[in-house]
Amino acid sequence: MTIVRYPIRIMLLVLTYAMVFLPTHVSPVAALSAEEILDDPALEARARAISQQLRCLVCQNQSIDDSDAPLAKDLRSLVREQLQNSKSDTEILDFLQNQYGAYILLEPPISSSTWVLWLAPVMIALFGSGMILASRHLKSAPPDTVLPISTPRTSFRPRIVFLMCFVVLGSALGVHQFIGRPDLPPRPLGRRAEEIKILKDTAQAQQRALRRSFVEARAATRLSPKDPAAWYHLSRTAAALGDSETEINTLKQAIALDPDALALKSLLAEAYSRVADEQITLPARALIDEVLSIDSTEPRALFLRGLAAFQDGDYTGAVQTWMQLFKYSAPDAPWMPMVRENILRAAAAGDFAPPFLPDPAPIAKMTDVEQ
Amino acid sequence: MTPEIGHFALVAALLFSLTQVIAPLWGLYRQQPTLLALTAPAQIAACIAVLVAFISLIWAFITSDFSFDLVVQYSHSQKPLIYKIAGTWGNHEGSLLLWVLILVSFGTLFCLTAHRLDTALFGLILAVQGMISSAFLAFSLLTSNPFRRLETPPIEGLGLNPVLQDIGLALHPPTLYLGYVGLSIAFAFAVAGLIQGRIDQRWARALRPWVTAAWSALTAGITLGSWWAYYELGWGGWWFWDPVENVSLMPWLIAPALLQSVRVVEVRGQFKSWTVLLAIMGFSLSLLGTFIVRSGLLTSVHSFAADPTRGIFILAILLLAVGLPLVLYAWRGPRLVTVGDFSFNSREMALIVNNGILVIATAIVLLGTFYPLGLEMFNGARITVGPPYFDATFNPIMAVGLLGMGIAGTLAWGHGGLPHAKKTLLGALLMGLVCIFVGLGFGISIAALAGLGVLGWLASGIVIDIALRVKPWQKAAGARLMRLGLPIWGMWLAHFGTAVFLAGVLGENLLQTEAIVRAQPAQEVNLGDDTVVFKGIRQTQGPNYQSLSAELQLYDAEGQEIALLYPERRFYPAENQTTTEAAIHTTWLGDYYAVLGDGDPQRGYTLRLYHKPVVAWIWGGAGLMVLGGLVSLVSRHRIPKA
Amino acid sequence: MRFIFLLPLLIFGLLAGITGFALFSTLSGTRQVEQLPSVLVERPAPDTRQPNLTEGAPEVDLSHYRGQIVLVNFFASWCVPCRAEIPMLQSLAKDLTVIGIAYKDKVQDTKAFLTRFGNPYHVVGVDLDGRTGITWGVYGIPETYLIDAQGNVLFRHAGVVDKVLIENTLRPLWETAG
Repeated sequence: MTIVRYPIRIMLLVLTYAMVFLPTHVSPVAALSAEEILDDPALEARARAISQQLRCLVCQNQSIDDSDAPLAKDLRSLVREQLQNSKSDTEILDFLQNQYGAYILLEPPISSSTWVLWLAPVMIALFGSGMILASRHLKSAPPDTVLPISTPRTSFRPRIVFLMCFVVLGSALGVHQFIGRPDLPPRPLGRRAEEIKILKDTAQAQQRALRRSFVEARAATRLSPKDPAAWYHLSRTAAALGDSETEINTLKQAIALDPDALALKSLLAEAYSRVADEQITLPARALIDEVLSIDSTEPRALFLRGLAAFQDGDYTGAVQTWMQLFKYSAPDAPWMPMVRENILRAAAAGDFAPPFLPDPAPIAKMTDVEQ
Repeated sequence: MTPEIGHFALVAALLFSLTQVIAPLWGLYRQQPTLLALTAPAQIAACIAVLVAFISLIWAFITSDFSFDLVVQYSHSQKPLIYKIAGTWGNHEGSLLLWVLILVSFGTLFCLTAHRLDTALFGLILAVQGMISSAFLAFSLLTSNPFRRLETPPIEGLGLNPVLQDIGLALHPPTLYLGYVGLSIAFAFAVAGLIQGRIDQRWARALRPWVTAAWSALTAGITLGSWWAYYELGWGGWWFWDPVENVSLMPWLIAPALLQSVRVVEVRGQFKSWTVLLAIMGFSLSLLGTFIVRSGLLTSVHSFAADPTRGIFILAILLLAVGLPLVLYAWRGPRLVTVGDFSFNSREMALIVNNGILVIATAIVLLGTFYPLGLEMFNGARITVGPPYFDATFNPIMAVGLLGMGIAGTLAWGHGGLPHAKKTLLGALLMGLVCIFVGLGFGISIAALAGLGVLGWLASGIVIDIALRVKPWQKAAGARLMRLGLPIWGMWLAHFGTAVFLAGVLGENLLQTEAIVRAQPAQEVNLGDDTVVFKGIRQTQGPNYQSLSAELQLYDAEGQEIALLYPERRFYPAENQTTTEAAIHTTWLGDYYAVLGDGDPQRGYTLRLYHKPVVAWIWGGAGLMVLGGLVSLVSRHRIPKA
Repeated sequence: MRFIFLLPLLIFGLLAGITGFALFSTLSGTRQVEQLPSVLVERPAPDTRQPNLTEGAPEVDLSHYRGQIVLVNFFASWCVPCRAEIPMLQSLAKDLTVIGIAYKDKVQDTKAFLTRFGNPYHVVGVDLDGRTGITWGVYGIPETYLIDAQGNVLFRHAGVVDKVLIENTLRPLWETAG
């Protein structure tokens, strides 16, 4: 979404229900705040009147007077400033129409594309009045023949009704087998206490274990601050805890101690992206390029380069990069399933046929059977 | 109970609805009484099935069964029970199911009450109803299935938008749907009448209560929505000319026109073709509203993430459900025309004028709502048609319509007015002019002057009409009062409600005072003649939100305490959203409306305070309209046996 | 007389046509509701002189770039989609002069943003109060303007610049202009 929306009116919301765009930092009231109000009541009254004529562009169908969007606030202050510079109402409206087009005016100005809009009500009213006056002089057309659809009496037979219900319910059961999920039991929250407790306990235990190993790893770096492996280890525990800043800092330490470790640089590039909502940023790209210029088969860097191409909308490039990774890696490398999935996804996004991917899994199975 | 039963019931409902279509059509075509007799049982069975589906969906929400995708998306275990239940229809899928439930319930009610209609008409009406419910049940099952399951249920839901966690959500949608869907019965009557080629007085008499009920429900639904917006949004607006509001306004304008013209068919056997057209239009506009809202085509504050398949599906339903009847109308409508037999000052003429005005007003709303979209498709230009356009076009037309309303009761069927028509007219004119002259003294805008004039005319017209009919200054006034009958009281109530509504609108526009200030605790703020003392601010914990509320003490000009107000700002952690809750003190003469804005202890807090005289009359007037509708509903005439 | 009875069908047909057309063009992506047409297109770009993001560096003055094809990009650190287009802007910087305007953003936030996500801009001007944005008709960032050598606005895009936009729209535009 490029535009932050400020839908805050709820009238007849019924019909719509999901105002999912409501941004969290906006309260529906911040509209006109006390500081904006001009001291001169006459000028302020004009400012309010003008504001009610202007559409808040980022909201849907609100005037800037009602809106709490930042742009509406800017426009309000612009209107007040211009008023204080003794601009006339029309001058201000014209100025804004000049910047934003007629869209900003809640009352459409008469122009080549709106004269129909303004003329039509008059025409509708005239036409309607004509019809009203004509209604007294209506001539009747020859009456239509009534369709031969009259049945003397319905005959209600309970047995037939039961049969109908039976057939319908039977077929419904059949259809439900296909589209429903009769296999899934109901899972009301009240009966899931145990399951939720186990889930939470496991998560807590995991978290505790992670935190413990983090503390241990940090102690290790204090003991041997010149050992890149210790820093690397600390960075991994930080990553597992979701502490990306520490991960980045420790990785930088490790790289400083071992400048040739390409895997560390790839990890750093990955960490850079993680703090940027998985986006492969320019600094990350620079690292990836550096790594790949030395070792063009470094798997993590290759994967990230593919991802960068994917994010740029270059799906062919993404598939090519990932195919290289696919070729260079051992068939049982842990990242292989992910690479496969990504190649398929990129091909689908780019709307072309995916390249042939030899499937490692069945081969492994076959050898199992043979053995 | 497993909600999966609901899924099964939804499938069964679709099949029952299809039976409800096929049985009467095939039965009439083949002259099979047994088959025809299946229609009503199929309708009732479909209703039971949808009810089961709906209840099991509510059950899934109540028990927070997160194996249902819909419950995960729109519910949360910490939500108060009432909002868990209301949350069932606080989303597209659930609200669609509610829509269908109301549709089949209306059908069933029709089955149970309309046994005096001739069997062919009865069967055809239910067949049309069945087509609509089949289409929407298929829509629900194929593109918006509320019973989608998850293999591994999460342990918590995403919660419901806090703005929707309000009693408004529990009341507003069901009422509005009652209105929308109630019009489907009129639609079915019209289509069945066109197929049968016979529209008569019995047809009209059977139809009229449905239209009255639908119109009352629509009024109540729109009013509830407006009131909800008024107290929830925090600046006291109540109508915004938003596309989604406009599409609900259009059927509301058509319904009273339909009501009047059905009455003419019933009493005079005229206006048949026009009545059929209005009946088709009313429901078509409801469907159009559904389409616009659920496809997200028009930018609206109410729009939600649009799903393409949904839009196409509803467009297809719309084309069939509206296109075919209109083709049928173009073909057979001319045959229904009767020779006009009434004079210029008859009640028929007044009703035609009123009908015409309502339809013109609807056409203008339709034009204003769709023009930007049409223009964008035509040449790519983007414009906004906002409130000023509707104020300039819709309001004058409606003002003329209201003038007609003031004297509607004084005209007689056929030829000539009632004896007191002239007196009423003169009295109303006089009062209207007086109001305008009084208004002139205050130097208000021309639109407001016109509004005042109309108000004076309308209110005094009704009062004089009642007075001249009852003649309370003569003997036996009580007997005359009793003889008048409920229908005319229903009409007066509805018309008087309109006058009250208009007074509320004018008062809100002309008399409002406001103060927007940044205040520290213990500070005093002037609001017109009244004084507001900002006592302090405090934090509280709600069931699923944290709240910051200000304590405001309100004094009138004499220093008498009027009320304590606690405007709030709430933070909902589950949804990570903030809402404001306006504090409103309502009296007969006006509302005090306070909103707590941004702020902190250092800078102080923004307080937005309004005194809105007679604003509650807007909803009170609408309430009187609903009451008028209900009164005339109670007095419905029995359909004579064939 | 019969024509009157066809009128409702005709009006409905028109309405259904408009909404159907709108629906299908929305689905096919040719209609984008968020894209407001800019009145600036085919008009001279507004005079723009902004303080430079780098303290002490000379003001960013658009008129200095007459004779070059310039891409003006309004962005901010608080704008999430703005991050996504930075690699794309970087690739554009090979062919065009890409000028960034930091819209309603604190200077240190902008700097941190550019360090984290990379700096694709030739130069960055600062528009603290959003006034420059208003003179350009900016309503939601990111917004990108393509300006020809004579200083006229060729094209405005509201939203993320992506590969499809570059190849299908921007490249043909600047190649014919330059």
